[in-house]
Amino acid sequence: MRRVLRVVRRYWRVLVRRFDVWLAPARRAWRRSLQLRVVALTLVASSLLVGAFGWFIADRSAKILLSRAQDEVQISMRNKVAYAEQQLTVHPQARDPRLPSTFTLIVNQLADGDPSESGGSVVSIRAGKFPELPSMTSPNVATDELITPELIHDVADQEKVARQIVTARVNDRTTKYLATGSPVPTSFGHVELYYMVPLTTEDSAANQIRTTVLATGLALVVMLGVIAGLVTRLVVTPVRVAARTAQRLSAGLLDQRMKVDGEDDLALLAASFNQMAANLQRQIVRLEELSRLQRRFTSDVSHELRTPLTTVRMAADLIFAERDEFDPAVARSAELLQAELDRFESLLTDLLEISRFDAGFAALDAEHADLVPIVERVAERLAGLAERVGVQIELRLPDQPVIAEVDPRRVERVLRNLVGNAVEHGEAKPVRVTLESDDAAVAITVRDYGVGLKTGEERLVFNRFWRADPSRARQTGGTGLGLSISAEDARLHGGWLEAWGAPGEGAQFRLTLPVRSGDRLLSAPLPLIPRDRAPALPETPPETPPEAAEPKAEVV
Amino acid sequence: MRRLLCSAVVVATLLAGGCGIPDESDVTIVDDGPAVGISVGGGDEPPVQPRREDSDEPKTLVGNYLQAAAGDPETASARVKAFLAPDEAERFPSGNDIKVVRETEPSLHNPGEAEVKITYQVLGTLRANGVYEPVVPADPVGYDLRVGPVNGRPGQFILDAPQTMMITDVAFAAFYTPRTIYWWNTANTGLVPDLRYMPLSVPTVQQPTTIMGWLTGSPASWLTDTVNQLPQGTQLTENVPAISNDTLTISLNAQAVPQGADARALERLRQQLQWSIRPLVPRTIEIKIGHDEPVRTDDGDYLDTNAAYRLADDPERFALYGGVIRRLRVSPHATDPIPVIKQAANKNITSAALSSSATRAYAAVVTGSGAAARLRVAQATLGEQADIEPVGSLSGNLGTPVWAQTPDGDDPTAAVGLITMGGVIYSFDASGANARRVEWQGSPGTVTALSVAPDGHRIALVSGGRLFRAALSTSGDQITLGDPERVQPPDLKTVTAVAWNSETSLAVAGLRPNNRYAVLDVTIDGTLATIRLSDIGAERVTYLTAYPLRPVNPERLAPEWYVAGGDAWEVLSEPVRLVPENLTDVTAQPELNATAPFFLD
Repeated sequence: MRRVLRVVRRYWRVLVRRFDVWLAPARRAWRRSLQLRVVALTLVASSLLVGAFGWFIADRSAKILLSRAQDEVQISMRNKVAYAEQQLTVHPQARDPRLPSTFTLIVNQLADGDPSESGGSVVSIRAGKFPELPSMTSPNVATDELITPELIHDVADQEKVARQIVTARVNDRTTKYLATGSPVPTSFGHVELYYMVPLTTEDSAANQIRTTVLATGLALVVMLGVIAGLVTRLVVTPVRVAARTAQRLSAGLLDQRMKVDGEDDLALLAASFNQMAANLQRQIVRLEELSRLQRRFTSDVSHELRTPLTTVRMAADLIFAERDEFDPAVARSAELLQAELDRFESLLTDLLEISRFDAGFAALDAEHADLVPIVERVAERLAGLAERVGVQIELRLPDQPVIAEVDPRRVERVLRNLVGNAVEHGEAKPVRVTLESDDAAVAITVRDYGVGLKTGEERLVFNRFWRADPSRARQTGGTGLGLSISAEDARLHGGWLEAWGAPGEGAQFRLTLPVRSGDRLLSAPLPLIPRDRAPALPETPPETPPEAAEPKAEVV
Repeated sequence: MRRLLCSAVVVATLLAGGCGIPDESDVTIVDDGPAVGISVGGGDEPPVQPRREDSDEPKTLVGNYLQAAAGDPETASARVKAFLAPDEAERFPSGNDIKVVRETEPSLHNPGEAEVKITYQVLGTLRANGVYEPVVPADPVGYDLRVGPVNGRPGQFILDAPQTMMITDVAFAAFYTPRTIYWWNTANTGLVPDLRYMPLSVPTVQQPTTIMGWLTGSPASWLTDTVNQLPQGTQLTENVPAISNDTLTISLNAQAVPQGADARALERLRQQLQWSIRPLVPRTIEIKIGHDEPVRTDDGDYLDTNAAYRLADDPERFALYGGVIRRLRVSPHATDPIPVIKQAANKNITSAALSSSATRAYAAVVTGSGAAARLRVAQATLGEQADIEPVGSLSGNLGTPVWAQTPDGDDPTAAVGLITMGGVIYSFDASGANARRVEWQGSPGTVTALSVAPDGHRIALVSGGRLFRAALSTSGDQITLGDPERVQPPDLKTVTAVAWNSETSLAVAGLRPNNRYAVLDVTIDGTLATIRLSDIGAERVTYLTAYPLRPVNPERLAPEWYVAGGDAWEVLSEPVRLVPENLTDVTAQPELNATAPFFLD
């Protein structure tokens, strides 16, 4: 039993699934098309309404037809009973041998006297109380189906005038009959007269009415559906046009406008939409212009500063070279001047780089290069600084060369920036650089164990001139543009630069680059969140879910 | 989507099945049954008819068997067959005619034997339509009916019986009642009675139906030429319901009054009907012809259509005394003059007949005797007198004249009188024109007595000592007599005189087997005799007259007179001689008797 049930359930599920699959397009259409929904709802509502109304009309008319037939039959029946009663007065005894012939005469007379248009009515006389008396029927047909035992009971035993609708096969034709029975009083008791009138006319009239109502109702429902469809289309089409136009607008085609037809609400919508689009366009163009001016300004300022800076630099270099001859206080100033000029120069360089990116002049000079030596070179260059702050740079590099189509200069710059930052914020803890690659991508992570990043800062770190603590002095004299430029570089490669950090746990930056330039990145060979973070997990408050505690990784 | 589907299914179901005329329904009680309206009490219980199971005793069983056929003619055969052993019943001929027999000797049966011997004489045949036709008397025949058991069936059966239905005259009298129905004569001037026998088993409420059945059939065969049947194809379309609200409703098919029928046809039909259903006298008659509206007649007159109704309750009586017509003292209008005949002509009369209609009186007298005898006639308005005119071509041995038809109009040639001359019947009218011989089919014997019924169309006559009845046909220019049928009054071996004493019965005088004369009242077909005078001596009755009773009070006995040995006697509980003192304006003369009494009819 259970097995059978299981099988059944399985098949049911399969069926349901098939059905769902089969139904899926319909469901999708239902979700997406307002027109379909309106038409469907209109069809449902109108069929319910029309159906109820049609049923009411058909039912009422059938009842009226039937009651008219019943009234006629009742009047006719009264006359028939009176006639039969009159004819039976001549028989004072039930055992009168002429009684059967009177029965025959009565049924024949009553059946003959019936108007012919009613067609095929049957008259039968019975004597339920006198089983020895034969029952007579005219025309001579079997009445077992026509006169049911219930009717006989009510008429013969209860002495009531009763009627019933029966369907019977008479003369090889199945016909609906209205059978009415009445007791006929006689001198010796009572006999029963049954009058069966075919309801053919009434039935066909009722059927015609029903068919007409059904056809009209169906036509009405279909028409309502069509009308609803048309009306909805009238409304939906401009909305769709507006949606499409909005889509184009958002795609940057700012000169897209809707067509304005007439003066109705939809025309108003279109006009308003167009006005909105025009305003947006104007605003966007203005902002673009502004932004362009700004970038131009930055670029120009940087260029213009460069020439005086070179002169200043030359002078400063001279002074710096002669510092030993000066007063120690002046010598100290010369040193300071030299350092600040270095900073100024690198700031200018960065600004120019940034403005190049902004102006869209930055170009990728991609070539197949081994990334391992690049990493090693960066570590080497920063070894001095690391040593000074007591940070040990650990490299985890694969043994084989990692060849990728990259711009080595830019990758080196990015890595220098990242490792430099890590060393700077490493708080004398080791910095780990890991390189990994797969078929499609190369990833380099730089891990430090410094103060880490607060929640939300992993996105802010890529902003220009951003500082974790504005009050904190720069040790290395960073310009504040390094990560911004790195991010632009990564983007130029079609790669990602992401940051992760947690307060007290340090931070990790990951640079992911496609192996082939121009490929789209799908995944990185290294995780953004460091693997060694696990021991720190128990420290996270238990009520905070791990996902919430995870600082969000930023995809650049 | 699913909702749409569901609601569509619901709507379709509602529309398809929810409305329209259902195929079947429960029984609905509309009303109480009609209350019992007309209740016709059983009233007259019919005589109980014995059944086969009632007796196993052979003689009784045979006696019962000889009653079995009496009653409803349609089921007579079944009743008879119930007495017969199955194989005998199978052989038994079908047919509704019943022979009426008289057992001339009691049935004989030796105990232990199967045979029961009956000796019987066939008297007549009772037809299904109630007509009784007498047959020429034959000698009694004997028959041995065998009685015995039948395998597997209880009781005794008749194993062998004559192959015809028969009842005894006793059963006939016990199970039937005479009913008179009426037909219009061929000139539609009056009704002619036709005697039928109705089984007593027919309930009163069914009698109109039965009578209508007779009327839509044919009249008795001997009257066929004298009366009009209802139009061909006339049928009762339904039973005649019991009389309610003093109304009798009769439905006939459309043939009853054919297209172009004369306007009085329906009225005549009603009158004929009203006379025929007597003694039922509903005030209103409703006749429905075909699908026409019923025609109602309240208190319609019909009584006058029957001539017998116009007869007086107390007739004017006359007798001849010394060749002169004299009124009897006990007669009404005893002091009035003799009708029609003038005082001067009232002499030398040997026989006379006076008759009157509503407006006129007619006289026919035979004057003189022997070869000089002449018939003279006269007619006048009531109360007037006229000269008597001799009727030509009649002389010699003349019998007593009778007036058959005396019309109201002033046309003396329309009257019809009959007289015998030398045993041959002649007809005459009131104008004195030559008498004409009445044609008589078959071989006429010598007619010795003649009497005409009140309707003027039926004649009883005596020829060769035997009684005959015949119909008089006056419709053509020829007056003819239908084929006379022999009527055998019971218990008379010779009939000598006859007179109608009602519209369906005769007074008959004749010789009984003991050679004594008797006066009997018998019905027109010779059944149901009442002996008025069983023994009036051995003197031959030469003349008999009677004044018919009116059909409206048939309980009385008709006044009858007979003449035997030259003396006139009135038939009362015993014969009372007519003496001259009974006559008006007569001085009694010795050796002269009052004779030839007659009535003004």
